[in-house]
Amino acid sequence: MDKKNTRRAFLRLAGFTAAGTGIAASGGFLSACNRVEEVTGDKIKLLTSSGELVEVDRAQLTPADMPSLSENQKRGRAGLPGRRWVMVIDLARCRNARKCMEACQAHHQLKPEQHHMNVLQMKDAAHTAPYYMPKPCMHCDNPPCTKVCPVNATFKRDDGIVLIDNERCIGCRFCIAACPYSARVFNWTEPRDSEKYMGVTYNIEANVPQKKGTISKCLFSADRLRDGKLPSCVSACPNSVYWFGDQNEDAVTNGTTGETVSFSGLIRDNAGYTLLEELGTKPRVYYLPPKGRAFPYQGEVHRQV
Amino acid sequence: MTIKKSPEESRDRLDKIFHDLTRSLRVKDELSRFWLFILIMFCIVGVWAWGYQIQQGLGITGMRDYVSWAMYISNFVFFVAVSLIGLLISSIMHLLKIRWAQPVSRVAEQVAIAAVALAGIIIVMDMGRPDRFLNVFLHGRFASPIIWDVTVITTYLTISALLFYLPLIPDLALMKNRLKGKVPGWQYKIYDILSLGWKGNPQQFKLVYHSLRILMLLIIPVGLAIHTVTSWLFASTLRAGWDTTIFGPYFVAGAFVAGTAAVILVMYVYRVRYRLKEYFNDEVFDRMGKTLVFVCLVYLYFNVNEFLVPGYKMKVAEGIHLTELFFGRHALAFWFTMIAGLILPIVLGVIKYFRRPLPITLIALITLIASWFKRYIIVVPTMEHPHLPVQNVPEHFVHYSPTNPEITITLFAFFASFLIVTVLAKLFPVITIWEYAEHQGIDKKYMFEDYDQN
Amino acid sequence: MKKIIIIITAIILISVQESRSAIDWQVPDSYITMENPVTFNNVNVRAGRDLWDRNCKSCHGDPGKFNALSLVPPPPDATAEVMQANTDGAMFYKITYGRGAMPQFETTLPADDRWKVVTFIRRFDPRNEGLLTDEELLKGKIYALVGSENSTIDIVAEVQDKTGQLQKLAGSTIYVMARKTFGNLLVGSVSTDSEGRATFNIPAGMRTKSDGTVDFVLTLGDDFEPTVFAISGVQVKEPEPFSAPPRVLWSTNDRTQVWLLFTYFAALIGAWSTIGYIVLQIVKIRKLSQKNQG
Repeated sequence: MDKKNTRRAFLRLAGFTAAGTGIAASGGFLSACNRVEEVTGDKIKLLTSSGELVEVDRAQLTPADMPSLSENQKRGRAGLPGRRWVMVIDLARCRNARKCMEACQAHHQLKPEQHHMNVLQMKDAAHTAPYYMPKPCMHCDNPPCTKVCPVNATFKRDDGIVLIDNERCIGCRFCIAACPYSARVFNWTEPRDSEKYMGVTYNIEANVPQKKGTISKCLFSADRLRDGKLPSCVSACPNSVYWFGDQNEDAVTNGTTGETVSFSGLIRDNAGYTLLEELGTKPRVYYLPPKGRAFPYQGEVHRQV
Repeated sequence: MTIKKSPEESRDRLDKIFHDLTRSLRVKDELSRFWLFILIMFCIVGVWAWGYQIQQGLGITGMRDYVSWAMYISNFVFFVAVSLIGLLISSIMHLLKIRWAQPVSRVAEQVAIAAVALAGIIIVMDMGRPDRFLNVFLHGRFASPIIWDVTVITTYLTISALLFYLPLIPDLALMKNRLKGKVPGWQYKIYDILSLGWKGNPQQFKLVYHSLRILMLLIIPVGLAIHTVTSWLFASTLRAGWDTTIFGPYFVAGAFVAGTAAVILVMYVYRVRYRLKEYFNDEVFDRMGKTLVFVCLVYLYFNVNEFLVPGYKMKVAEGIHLTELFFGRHALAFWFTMIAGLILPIVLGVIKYFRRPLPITLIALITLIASWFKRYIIVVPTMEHPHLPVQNVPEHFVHYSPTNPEITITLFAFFASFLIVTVLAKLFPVITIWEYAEHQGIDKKYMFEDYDQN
Repeated sequence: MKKIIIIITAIILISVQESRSAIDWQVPDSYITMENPVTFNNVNVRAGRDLWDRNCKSCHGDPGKFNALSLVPPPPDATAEVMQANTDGAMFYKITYGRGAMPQFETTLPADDRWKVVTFIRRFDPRNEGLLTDEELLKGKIYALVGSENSTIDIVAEVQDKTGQLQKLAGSTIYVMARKTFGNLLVGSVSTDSEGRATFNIPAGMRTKSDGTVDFVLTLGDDFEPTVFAISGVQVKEPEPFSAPPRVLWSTNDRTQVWLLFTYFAALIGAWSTIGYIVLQIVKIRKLSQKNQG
């Protein structure tokens, strides 16, 4: 019991430390902020790209790239030219640490039950071995969700990312019905911390702030990609599960080790596959089979450890 | 053909027919006031519940990320289904010159208008952001079945209204002629405006017949489209239970069952309430009973196809879905829809005794309720079984059960449709007077002769 | 009920594990006495470090920083006494088979690599203090030019000798990488000749950016202080011709198939013009009434 408490205390401490460094680092950190939200005296509330709301001194601010809503919507729809983002998930390395889920929920301001990234416990047939499977949006090349959207609120960019415009979504939820991967979530009630984020300019590339009555889903952290950073989940993984990169370059980089390898080589040598490929959705997320696993399957063990 | 009647006989007969068929306009007793009061109260409560839902978000319903379409969509499909009866009775049967169906056609149009209007309203109530409804027109994506659905529902509602209105014009003229001072001024004004100063001359009748024939032809593709497109909302997805090619005709066949049952019910209420025994006579009920049996047989055929083929193969996802339907959580509702909604009307409907007005009405009532559950069974179980496991979410995400506001809004939809039918019946005769009179051998010239003199 | 039992069992198991220290981890005698076949030298320690970073660091943290994950039982730091108390063989056994949250590496790392990890951990053994003096890293320099027809990279490498003079770097490996969005991808390597020169042949089927260029990054091996030479925008291939995106069903209206738009609008216009015609007829009916009156 004692040990558990100290562990929790440690985690809390770690959280504070992280926030502390966040505020301390001003320059580059601030330029990554979405927008000045509210001016109170000489303190200004800012939303960081990792989803934290921080208050900083106005004097610390340097003018940075803060596009207006319409500008942001426009470039968000256009995407990053010449790219075709691709993700590879190595199932042999996943031990259900769920750092990806935590990072994702922090970044996209999601409630605990809303998952852009969901680590599932899979078992393909009665006698096959169970394994953990992180499941983001597949960013299909033949996306069933954008096919059915009546208002073009969800769409596929030329860089391969399937995005949602929460400023346009009418909340018909046809895309949830159409998605065979259950990748989409809906804001059934007021989103998490909606009061805190009130007035913050909407960022289509992160779906934040979340909007009530609209859809949200994994978007490969498109805002981070624009800044040249790996998606939140990829960076957060402690077990080098995720590889992410540009298929046009044929290179993927591991979020944990920073190692860069050839994408085609990686999926060729490890028998990479896509999820539910028989449905013809042509996912942009590839899986490496859970063979030669580094961590044994331990059910819900992450809760205790 | 009916033998032409003499002028005197014609005039007397017309007076009698007119008197009977405008009784619905005149009945203003306690019961009808009470009925209207109930309807309006329910509608107000329903609108209030919707307001509450807009304020709180769709989270007040039982729907969650996995079962994200549920009772509202079931209602939508149900109302679209019921509305299709307008196509069958007032178009196809008219074009085939089926005489007995003539008095039913206006009832069918009433039901069609009420149902399709409510289908449109309920789908807006299902939206997460009804305030952005205009986006459908501003940013409409023509490849989306929802846009097709919006288009086709609007078109169908317009055609149904025209099909209701065109044969009504001569009736309006008759009412304008005969009801001066007998109805409130505003009501008379409506008749005056809508009758377009009808004179009853042959050219005008020719134009009415001409327009009606075009509309009856036009409503066939539009009517089939409305329900086929609605079925595509499901069939265009990759989910087990929806991912099938027969959904279009399957839905159309099911729609005729629901619509026929609804029309029988409304007919029976008119027959009793407005003392129209001679008009909605035993023969009409007998024939409608036979129609019900026929459409049920067609629907049964599609049901066998829908369940036997995947059940024979038992592919993984389909297998889970079918097991759940046949023996699982939804087994009770499923077997109710199958037995009460299909087998019962067929087995009883072939016996002449059960095609008498009251028994067939009771059968129709059960069939209609089963039809609603059928829509529920089509929508909900499939949503509960996605391809990938449902994990890391609270228990109430996994299985759906409707909440009170949701049920209130569903009840609203029903009562609002009753209200539309009631208002239409209170304002306009429930059977086309001139057409009926003509079938009784009354020449059209006697109908509008008084009018010419005025 | 079942869940509760599982949780209780798990708690008992964990507390049992907690009560035993790492020393209690029983290692067969045959392993305890095993000798590390890998020589203790800088090269092998470096190899071990790379393996550690890739496979162990996520839980055990950086050696000496005691920043391991807070798991139960806690993963010891590489410099910790509990860690160093193991014999080489015992460490090898534990890496090989794992226990609880410590994964097995029997299937994921070859035996030689597992021994190299042991070698790396031994680098922090107080008994090895001073045994392995850090070799001073050499200071090297690379210059490179793109050769004829953009098919080769001509490289000259130099190294600073003890007096600080630059000398030709002979017989050393130059690593050629391509810069990608999130990291550098190794393309190949060449050895310098006695003149300190090397020619790297750009692979024919090499993946380029969409404009046909590659950004090359050249580095020296681990014996050198980090040094890079970058050649950006080497036109390896013709730029890919621009191809208009295809018309597809899932796309926006402007990229939807023509047949779909045609069908939709044909049906829409057909139906509504018919309705318009009917409305005209109604107007006509009204006009006919007025004519009769007049």
